[in-house]
Amino acid sequence: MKYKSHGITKLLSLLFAFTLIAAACGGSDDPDDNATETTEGTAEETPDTTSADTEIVVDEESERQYGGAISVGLEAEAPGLRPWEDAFASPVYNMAVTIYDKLMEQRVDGTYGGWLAEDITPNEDFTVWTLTLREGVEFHNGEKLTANTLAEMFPIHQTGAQSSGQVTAAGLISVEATDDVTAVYTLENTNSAFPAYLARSALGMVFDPVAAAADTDAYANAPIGTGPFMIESRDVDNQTVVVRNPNYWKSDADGNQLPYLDQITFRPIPDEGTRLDSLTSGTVEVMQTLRQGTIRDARNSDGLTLYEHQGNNTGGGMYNVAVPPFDDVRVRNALTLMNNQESVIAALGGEGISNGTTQWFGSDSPYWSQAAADAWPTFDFDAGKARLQEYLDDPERSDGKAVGEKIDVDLSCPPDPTLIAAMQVIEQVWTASEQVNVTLSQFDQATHINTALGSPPDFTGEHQAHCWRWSSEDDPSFSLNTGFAPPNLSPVNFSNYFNEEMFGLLTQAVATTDVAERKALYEQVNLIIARDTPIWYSGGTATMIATQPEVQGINGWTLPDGTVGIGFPSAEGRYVEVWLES
Amino acid sequence: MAKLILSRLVRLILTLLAVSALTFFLLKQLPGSEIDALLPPNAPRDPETIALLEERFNLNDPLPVQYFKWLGNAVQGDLGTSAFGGLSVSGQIKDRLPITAELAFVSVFFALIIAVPLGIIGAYRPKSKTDSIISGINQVFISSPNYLVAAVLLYVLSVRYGLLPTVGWTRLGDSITGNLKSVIMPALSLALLEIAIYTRLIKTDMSATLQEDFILSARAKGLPNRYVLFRHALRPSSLSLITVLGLNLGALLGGTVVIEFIFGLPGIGGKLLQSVFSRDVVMVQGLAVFISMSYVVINTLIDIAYLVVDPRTRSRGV
Repeated sequence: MKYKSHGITKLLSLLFAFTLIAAACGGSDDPDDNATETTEGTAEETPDTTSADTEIVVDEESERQYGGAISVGLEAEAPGLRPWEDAFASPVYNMAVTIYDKLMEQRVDGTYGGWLAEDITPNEDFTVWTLTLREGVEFHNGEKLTANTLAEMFPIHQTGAQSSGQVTAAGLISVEATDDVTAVYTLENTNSAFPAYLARSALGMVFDPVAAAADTDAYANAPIGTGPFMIESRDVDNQTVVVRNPNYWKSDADGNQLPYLDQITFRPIPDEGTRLDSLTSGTVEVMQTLRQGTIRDARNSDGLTLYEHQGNNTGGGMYNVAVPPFDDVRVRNALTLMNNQESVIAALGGEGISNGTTQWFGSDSPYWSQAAADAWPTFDFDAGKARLQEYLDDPERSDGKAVGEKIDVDLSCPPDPTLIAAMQVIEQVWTASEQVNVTLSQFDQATHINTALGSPPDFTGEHQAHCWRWSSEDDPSFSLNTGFAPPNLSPVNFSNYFNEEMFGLLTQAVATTDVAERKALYEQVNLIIARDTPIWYSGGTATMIATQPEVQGINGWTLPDGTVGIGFPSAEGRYVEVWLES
Repeated sequence: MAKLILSRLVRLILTLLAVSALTFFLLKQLPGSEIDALLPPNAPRDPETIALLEERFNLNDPLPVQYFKWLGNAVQGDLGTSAFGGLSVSGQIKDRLPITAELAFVSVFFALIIAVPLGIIGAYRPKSKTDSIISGINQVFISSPNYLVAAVLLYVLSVRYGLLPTVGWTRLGDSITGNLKSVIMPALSLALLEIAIYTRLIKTDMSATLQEDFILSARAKGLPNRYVLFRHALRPSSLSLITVLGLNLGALLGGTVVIEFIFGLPGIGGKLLQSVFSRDVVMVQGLAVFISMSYVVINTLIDIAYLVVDPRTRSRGV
């Protein structure tokens, strides 16, 4: 009998364990939890979470309120907060931009306007840029911001881990102060997109160069900027507290001094589930995510406001065109035609969240082109097979294999579960053609990048078909001009694809500020990419900032000239105009 | 005792040398350099910039020279400064060890105060209804991975009832209550599996001890059961427990990566993981050396504990 009783206990315990799992995986079991009162007073069984879904608007009706503190849950932390030295990924950017002001800012229409800069004017060939600084701005330590500050920042920029590459990319050779508010930036080459560099963290965020040079390691965690908030305390990987800068220079449209909040606490919460739990439980009032699965979960949660963004950044990959068989356009075309975008997006968890991508730009970008969208080889399995057969039947095929023999493809992605799922979808379709032997490989992010980077002198890399992310909200020249420059001169031309005509178009695009002219040039670039397919696209990277309903002002912040800022790209929030609704 | 400590000291030095050298040279074999890891993926890599950064971060010497320079500083207590954020490795250990150590000790404390009585009861009344219930509970604990327990605790204690904050760590010096709130859920998540293991160990060892002649003799003298169990049987039944406790404690001090990740705790394990992924050789090397040292020191203490707990081992030697 005792034996029987023991078995029952074990069975019960297994049931209990199952219940634990169900409790962990499931949501609320109370139907009222998902109910909300509508204005008519009737109950709906749908979450009352509000999705702002990218439309960036300024709320001019609500009355702003001073005071209050919020906590923000971030996906990641930076070991240091030095713009010239430490990498500010999107989560960290949320924190950095409260402490540092940038010289320029991006507007919602993709153009750039002054932030700490009042004005920036180029010479005729865009090689000399004269920047006029805003007057009366002070650092958190009381030091005045002058043009000389910018000149003194330059030597630090030249040797900074993050900024030195930007100095090279921009072709910046000197920064000189001609008076208290005028700084002259001299470039090696024509670059009409130079103001965009001053809107990025590495060269754009203004720091106190004297304090930074005095003790750079200490500065990492006691940063001094001119931003709306000042560092109060920093416990790396636990919490960073910033408090209101009482001397902040910027005011809102009604002349009220910014910022409104008294304090912000940034908490790194790497686990996606815990971050969302932290928001729904009230441990934090704001969170950001770069994961589509979390966006889906947040949409099913109660009482949140979601700010979703698609933008230009897209997943996909590249073919190393320096390596057979990818040196043949027929192979690249074929594999791209056999890339089932819809299934890949579903495997990434982005169904109903992310859009399929056809070019370097998202559909909201001023550079998006219908012609490029039409030209992109979308999924057509039979057409892909036929194209690949042309290569397989070619006695001169570049991989040296016998006619009719399958091609070998090493498909590599970092070991993220959703990326692995997406990779398996691609593998299945390519393998189903019976023309491709696919080997899957995974390396950590750093190895993945370095494998594609290769080593001197040719930087060819050891990769074949390699998962990658393309494009961003930055000026298109940032990624395109180095990404498709001659590979021996530009190690970050990861695909090793070089087309003289395309490079000429890219060079022309940095010799004009005319948006229509640039759009036409980038359209041609996208058409060449669609024709030669050195890279492939999957879906746009949807990102999100989610808040408790009382948090206002994430959307629709403005530049000093009153134009509307870019909003919350890549879940990079600006907190200068955030307030709490009582 | 002195001989034991001396032999452990020699072992410690050899272990630390091996760990630091292996960590350094293996990490350096990975594709790409630390400078590549330091630069943004799309940053241009012109040779002048690379040379400048290598100079700044002392990476232009041959590898053996770099290693011996590090070793020279390490023996003077300077484990180096990371190129990522300019963080000193010793400073990071100093900041993070109290968190990891508190988490480890509190979880072990939770586990012991529950496991010891349960194990004794199980041994004292084998195959009874109580023993079956204890076995059943243990079955649940042992089959529940700590990330699952963490998810359940988060849902119940934070999301559902709002009793505890989901994340964050309040240091003991800042607020005792806040610190307790920070440690409860992560420590419990770690403790459940340990409870199951310790209960089984105590039960098994004590069942054997209770058959020993000295226990029968104690009972024959009419000593109360509780006295026999706790004063006579528990100590000799604790050797396996102490061994496993030492190994567990070493592992916990080395980092409870999953739990630190879920609860967003700034402990040693999380930093080690971050540093591996960001190719921060100096930090990985320093933390690996520290973790190895913790293992050796804890196991030496465990060996000493054997001598205290079981007098028979003193004459046998450990």
